[in-house]
Amino acid sequence: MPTETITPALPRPVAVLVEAGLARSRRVPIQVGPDCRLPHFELGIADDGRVSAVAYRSTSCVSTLAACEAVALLAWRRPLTEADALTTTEVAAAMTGLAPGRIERVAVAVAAFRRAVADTRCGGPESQQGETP
Amino acid sequence: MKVAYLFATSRHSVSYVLAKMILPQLEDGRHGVEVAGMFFFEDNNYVLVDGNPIGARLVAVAERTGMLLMGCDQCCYEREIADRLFPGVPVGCFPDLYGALAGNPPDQVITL
Repeated sequence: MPTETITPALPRPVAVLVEAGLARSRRVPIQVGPDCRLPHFELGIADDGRVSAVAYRSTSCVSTLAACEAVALLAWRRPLTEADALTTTEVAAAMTGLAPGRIERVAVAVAAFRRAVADTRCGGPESQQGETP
Repeated sequence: MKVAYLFATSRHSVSYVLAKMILPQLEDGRHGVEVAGMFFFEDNNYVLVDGNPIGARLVAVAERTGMLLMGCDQCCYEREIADRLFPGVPVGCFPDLYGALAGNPPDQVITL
C-alpha cells in the first residue's frame, strides 16, 4: 500500500518556528528530560507505525527551540524509521534565516529527537497522544 | 579599564552615541578604555547587517582590537537578519555573551 506523508509547508522563518514552538509548549507541556541543558522529545506512534504526536521541551535558546519545532513538523505523520533518519541538514533546510553559527543547535535537536525514537522503540517515556502540528 | 557596551535602547544610541562618539574615538585610539565587546538589542542589530557603513567600521575596529561584536539572536530572527550579518559576527543570548566575554571580562558594563 502506498504511504502518504503529510508535512506542513516548510521551510519557515526561524521566528515563526519559535512562536509555534512556544505555542506547542503551552499546549502540550511536558517534564524536562534527564538533562535540563538538552531538549527532550516525547513521541506518540499510531497503529500504522507513523509518528502521530510530537511533544518536546526545548532549552531557552531560540535557535534550539526553532530547530525542535522544525523537527516536530518534519517528523509528524512519517513512519518512525523514516523520522529517525532526519538529518541536521534536512532540518536546517526547513528553517529560513538560521544564523550560520547556529547549525550545532540543529544537531542538538536532531540528537534529542533520535534519543526519543530510541526510547519509544524500547517502550520508554509514555508518549503524548492526539497531538498534531 | 575594560568595558562592554550593551545597546539596548533605540533612537540615537547607535546612530549618534556609537557612530559619532564611541566609534570615531575607537578608530583614533583615544576612547580612553579598552572595549571588550558590544552587544546589540532590537533594531540596533541592523548596524550589524553586512554592508551597513557604520557596521563596516565597527568590524574593522573589532578585527584590529579583538573586540567582540554580537547580536541578540531573538532580535535578529524576528527581523530576519540573523543570516545577513557581517561574516564572523555571531548572534546569541546572555549565556553566549557571557561565554564569549569570559576570556576577556570587562570591568564595567555600560548600557546605552
